[in-house]
Amino acid sequence: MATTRRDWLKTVASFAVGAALGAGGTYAALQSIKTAVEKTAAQTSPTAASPTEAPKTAAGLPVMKIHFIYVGPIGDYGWTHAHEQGRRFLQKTLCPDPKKWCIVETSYTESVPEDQAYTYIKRALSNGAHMVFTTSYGFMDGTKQAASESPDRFFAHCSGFFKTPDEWARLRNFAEYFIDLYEAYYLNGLVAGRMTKTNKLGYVAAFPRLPEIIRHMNAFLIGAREVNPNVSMEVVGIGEWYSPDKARKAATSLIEAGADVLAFTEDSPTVLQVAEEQQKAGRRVWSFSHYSDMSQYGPDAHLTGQVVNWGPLYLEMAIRAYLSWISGDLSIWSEWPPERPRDYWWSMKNAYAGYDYRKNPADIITPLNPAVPDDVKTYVEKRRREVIEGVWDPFTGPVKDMRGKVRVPDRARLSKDDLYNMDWYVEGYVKEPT
Amino acid sequence: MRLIQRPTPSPLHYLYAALGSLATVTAIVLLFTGDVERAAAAFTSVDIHYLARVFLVVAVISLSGVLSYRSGLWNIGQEGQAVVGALAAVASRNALEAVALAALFSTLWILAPAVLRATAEVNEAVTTFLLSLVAIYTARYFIDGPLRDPAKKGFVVTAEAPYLDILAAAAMYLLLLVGVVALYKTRTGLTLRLLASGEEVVRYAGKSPRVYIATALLLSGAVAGVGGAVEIMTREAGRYMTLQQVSTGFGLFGVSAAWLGGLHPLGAAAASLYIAWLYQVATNLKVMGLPALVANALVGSAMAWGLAGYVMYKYRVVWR
Repeated sequence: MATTRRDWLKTVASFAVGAALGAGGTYAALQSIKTAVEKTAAQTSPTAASPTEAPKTAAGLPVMKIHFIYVGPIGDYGWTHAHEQGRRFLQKTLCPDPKKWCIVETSYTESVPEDQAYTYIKRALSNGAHMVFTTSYGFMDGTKQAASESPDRFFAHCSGFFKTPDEWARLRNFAEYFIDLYEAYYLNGLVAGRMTKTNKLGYVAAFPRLPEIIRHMNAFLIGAREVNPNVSMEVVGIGEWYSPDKARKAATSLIEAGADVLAFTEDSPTVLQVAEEQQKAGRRVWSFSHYSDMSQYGPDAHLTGQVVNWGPLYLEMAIRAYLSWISGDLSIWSEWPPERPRDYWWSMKNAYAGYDYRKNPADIITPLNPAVPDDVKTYVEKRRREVIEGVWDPFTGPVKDMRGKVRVPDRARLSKDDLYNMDWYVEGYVKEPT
Repeated sequence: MRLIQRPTPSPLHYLYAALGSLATVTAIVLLFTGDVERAAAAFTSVDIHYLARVFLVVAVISLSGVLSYRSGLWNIGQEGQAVVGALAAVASRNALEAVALAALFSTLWILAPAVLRATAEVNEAVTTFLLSLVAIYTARYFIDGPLRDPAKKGFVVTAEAPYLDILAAAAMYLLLLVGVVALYKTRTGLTLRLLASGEEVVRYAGKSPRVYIATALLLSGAVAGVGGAVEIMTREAGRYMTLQQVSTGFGLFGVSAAWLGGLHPLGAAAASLYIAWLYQVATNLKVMGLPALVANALVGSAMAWGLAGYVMYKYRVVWR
C-alpha cells in the first residue's frame, strides 16, 4: 500500500510539474509566435500606427477609432440592432468616403457577456481604439475601470449612473448616456386611450419591476387615462428582453382578457404580429413599434411607436470626443453643455421638427396609422409640441400611485433622479405588476 | 452502421478527438478570417489573466462532471449549481465564506435530484437539467429581492461578491484536483467508479448503491457550486448579477471539458485549458468583428468532439 501511495504521489507531483512546465511553455511559445506575428505585421504594414498616433486622411485630419461593445447580436431587431444602426449612421456621417475625407473608423463586438466587458474593452484598446461605447447596464463597472486605467482614451456607457460626485470628478474621460422614451410612450398612450373600445389595455413587459419599464408603463397609462379616464391596464411580465415565444403567449392571454391595445417593452415585433393576426381575423386589436420601426410586421395593427435613433447622439458625442482628442482639451468633450456635463440624455426634445423619423433623423416616433381619427392626430401633435418645447411633461402633478398616494404634487414635476428610480405604479393598473 | 464495443479501449482516441477538434477550429477560423495573418493573430493573442480565469472556472466545473459521469450518473445541471454558488458568493462577506457557502448551497440544490435518483430511480439528467432553469428564476428572485443592492439607484443589481485573487483560485483548484485524484485512489473512490458498471456490481461488492449514488451526485453539485463562486469572484470588474445576466454558460463548458478529457481529472484539466484557449480565440474573433455565433460554434464543436472521443474510445464503428 505504501508503495502504491508513494507511486501515485509521484504521479500527481510529476503531473503538477508537467502541467506547470507545459502551461509555461505554451504561454512562452504563444507569446513568441505573437511577437513574430506582430513583427511581420509591423514590417508588412508600415502605416500601422500606435494607438495614440493616428493615421491621417488626405486632408491631414487624423482618423479616430471608435469601438462599440454590444450585449446582444446585431440582428435581434431590438436593443443591439438599434445601436448598430446608430454606429452605421456615425460611420456614414463622419466617414462618407475614405478616399476624400474620413475622420472615424468604427468597429464593434456583438454578444459580449456582461461579466466580461472589461476584457473586451482592453482588447479593443490594444487594437488601437481611441473611444469605446458600451451599451448595456452590466458593462458599467468594467467600462469605468478601463476609463480610470486609460485616461488618454474616451469611454461612454449606456444606461448607467455615477455613484458619487467624486467618481464623476475622477473619471473625466467617461460619460453616461441614455435615451428617454417615456414621452413617446405617453403619446402612444394618448392614441391607445382613444382607440380602445373595451377600455382595457395590455402591456407585455420584459421586466415589469425595472425603473425604466415602470416609467414607460406609467407614462403610457397616464396618456391613455388623460383622454379616457375609464381605461385600465393589465401587465404581463415575461422575464426576458428578447423572447418571441413568451411575448406571443403574453399577448394572446391579454387579448383573451379583453385588451384591444397592446403596448410592450420586448425586443421583437411579436406583439405587433399577434395584433396583426387579430386584425386579419376581423378584430380591432392594435399595437406599436418599439426601438425599431416595425410597421412592416403589422401594417394594419400598427398605431405608432417609438424608434430609438442613437445615430445623432453618437454623432454628437463622437464629434466632441474628436475635438477633445485632437486638441488635448478634455473639457471640450466633457463640459458642454455646462448644465449637464458628461451625462447625455437624448430625448424627444432633441427632435425639433418633422413628425417623421424618416425625414428627421433625430425624431424618435413613427407616423400615426391612417385609421387614427383626425382629432386624435391633432391632439397628439399638440402634446408632442408641448413636450418638445418643455411646457408639458407626462409626469406633471397631480399624479397618484395605484394606492391613492399623491406621488407628484399639483403642478410639480419629477426630477431626473425620481424618473430614473421610479418604483411605484400610477392609478389604473388592474393589479400591481410582478 | 453499427457500434461494436472495443475489447481493449485505447485512450489514444481522446487525442484523435482533440486533434479533430483543433482541425475543425482551424478550418473555421481560416474560413472566416480569410487570411493566414489574421487567423494567426486570432490564435496567438492571449490575455493571460482572462485565460487563467476561464481555465480555472471550466476546470473546477469539469471536476464536477468527472465526479458524476465516472459513476455513470448524468448530472448536467452544472450551470444551475454554478448559479446557486455564485449567488452564495454574492451573499458572503469574504472569499472563504463564499466558497464554503457556495459548496453548501449547491449541495442542497442537488440534494433533491440525488435523493430521488437514489431512492426512486428518477432520471437525474432530467431533474438536474430542469433545476438549472429553476436556478435562474430563483437567482432573479434574489437579485430583485434580498440580495438587491440599494446603493445601485433604481437598477436591479446585486451587491458585489468578494474578490478572489486568481492565484488563490488556482491554489484552490489544485487542492480540489488533488482531492479528486486522491479520492479515486481510496476504497470509496473505487466503489464510486464501480457504480458506472451497474448498481448490481456495487451491491455484490457489499456496498449500498444508494449511498454511493447520493455521494457522487452531492459531491458533483458541491464542486459545480464552487466553480460558480470562483467565476463571479475572479472577475476584474462587475462582480455582481443583473436580471439579464444570471447564467454564464461555463457550466456547459465544464461538461464538455469533462468528456473531452476522457473523464479523468487530469485529462479534464488539459481539456479545460484547451477550452479556455478556444474561448480566448472566440473572443479574439468577436473583437475582429466576426459574428458571435461563429465564435460560440467553436466552443460548441469542442463539445461534439469530446463526445465523439468518448464514443471512439469505447466503440468501434463498423460501416455495414
